[in-house]
Amino acid sequence: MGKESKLAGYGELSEVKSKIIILAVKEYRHIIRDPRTLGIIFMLPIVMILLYGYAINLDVRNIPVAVVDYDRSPLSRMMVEKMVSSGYFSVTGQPQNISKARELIYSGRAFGTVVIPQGFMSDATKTQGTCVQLLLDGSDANTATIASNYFNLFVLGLENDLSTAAPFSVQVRILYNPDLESVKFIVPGLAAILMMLICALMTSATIAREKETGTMELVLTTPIKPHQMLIGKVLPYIIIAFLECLLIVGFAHLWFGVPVAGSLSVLMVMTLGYVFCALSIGITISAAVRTQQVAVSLAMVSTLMPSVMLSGFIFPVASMPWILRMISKAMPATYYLKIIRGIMLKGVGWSYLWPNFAVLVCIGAFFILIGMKKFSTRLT
Amino acid sequence: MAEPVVVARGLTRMFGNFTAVDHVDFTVYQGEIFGFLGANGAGKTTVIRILCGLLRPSGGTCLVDGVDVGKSPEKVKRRIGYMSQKFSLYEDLTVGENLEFYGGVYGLGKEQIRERKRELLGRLGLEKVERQVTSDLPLGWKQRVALASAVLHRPKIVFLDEPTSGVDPISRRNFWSMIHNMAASGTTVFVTTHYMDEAEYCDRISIMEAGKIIALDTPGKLKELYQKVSVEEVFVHLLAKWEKKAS
Repeated sequence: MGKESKLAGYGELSEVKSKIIILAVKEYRHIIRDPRTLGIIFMLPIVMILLYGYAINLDVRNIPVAVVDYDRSPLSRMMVEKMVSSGYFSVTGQPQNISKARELIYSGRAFGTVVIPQGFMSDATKTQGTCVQLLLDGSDANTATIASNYFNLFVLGLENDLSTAAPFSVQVRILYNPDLESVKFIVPGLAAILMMLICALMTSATIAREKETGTMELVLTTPIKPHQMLIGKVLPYIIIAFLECLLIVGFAHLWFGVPVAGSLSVLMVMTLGYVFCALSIGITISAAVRTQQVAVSLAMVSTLMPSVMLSGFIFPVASMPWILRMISKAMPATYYLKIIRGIMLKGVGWSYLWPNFAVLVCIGAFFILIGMKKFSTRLT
Repeated sequence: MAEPVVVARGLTRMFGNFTAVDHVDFTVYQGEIFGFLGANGAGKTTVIRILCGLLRPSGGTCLVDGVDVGKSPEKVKRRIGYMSQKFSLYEDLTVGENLEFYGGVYGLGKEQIRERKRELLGRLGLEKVERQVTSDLPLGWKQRVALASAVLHRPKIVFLDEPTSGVDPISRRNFWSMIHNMAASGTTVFVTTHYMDEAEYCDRISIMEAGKIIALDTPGKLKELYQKVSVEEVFVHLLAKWEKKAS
């Protein structure tokens, strides 16, 4: 017996490696034979890139507005001209009074109304100044907020143009994404969402499936150890996650013109931290459930949805209520978004981004410890 | 007598307050077909899961090929083959791929796997379906594939947990002739069943009820002892007696 265990000790490393490869090959076969899995891996990224790159555009251009000009002065006409030439607004009509302008908003032909009061031009030169009213359709709050911001910027610019006596001037300069094109910050963010999907949701589903069908039990009567089983199973997904990350970065750069200002190799190293983190969560989920369906639902609710909604992928974290901001801090995607946007758009490196990487590794370590513990105790 | 392959002494397993296996003693010898009979919930599967290292015993000892399963379940795993109650090979892999996977998992070399795969497929009449995905096969065929993957690494003992449940009579008979061939070539077979006709094919049978073994001998001796013509009658008689005692 002693002799035998000694012998077993010899070829151990290569044997462990070859077993992991055997498991990975088997997993690869599962993946390529399941149309649903293939769809998620190959179709979803393309659909999401197109969707988020084109259809979901947070930039607002040519907001249709009606103008009610009670002043009818050279200055009011100049202001309307400038509004149109800014590109943010288009004038859909010049009704006589506010109630007619309201009709345009009700019917949906105008998104807002600019009301220029009588005496606009004469008041503009006086010290107390004048004011212009902007009425907006609040039923689309997002566009309304953006339109009102644009309008404020526009008015500020106008004041500068007109008044030589202005006590100060405001100059807004946007760094890193000067045209404020949302595609430049959303498309890189897709990498965070897709990798979470593949590493947390798909791996938890595939492990749970082996439990559900009983194949896990059979494999555990063989000399394979639980951790070898897990590594072999998740290996193909790690490779797929990296390929998708590269696909997204490539697409963003070559197609949408997103810069890659920082180092790609730093990005890849940090991506490894994110993948580790997502996998640990996936493994923990699969250890906690018995069926594939429960694993998918749990992963959806606990990883994918909050990653989309609360990580700052689309909606800014700063404007969330405090409880959502707290949840956001627990989402790995929050940190990865800072990393990928930081590297691609700002060109920052290790020295600025390492805390985000450290958080990812810590969250990953926390979950992998829980996951492995649950995994081994449940099955022996 | 042949050497003992499984030795269970006072084997016990509790699930909370429930005693699923209650101080069970038995010995299985090399090359025999050892039948494990009992109603559903009698504790048969629990015993098999302990012997395969999937469950830790709560008490007693259990040696499989000289290794204490409770203490070093990992060492047992190379020496055994296991076929579970429900078909649990990979349905989306072909018959050949399933066998290759299990061969690889047991650490067999490529050449070895190819050789043994060919031999087993021939012996079990599965050559024609080697490239078919297992989900397309009828249950009787699937069970043969499962048996093949359980013995590819030539284990000393193979545990079959209700291998023929839900399989038609012809396939069952075929399956049993394969079990006999295996035993004849020296593999010990430990099989649970609730088909009483299958019990007649076993070298020795043990009848389990409520976690205890209530009878253990060859089918012939049990029939003689209880003056019955079939194992089925022995089984019914013993269970009736047991129930009376329990109430």
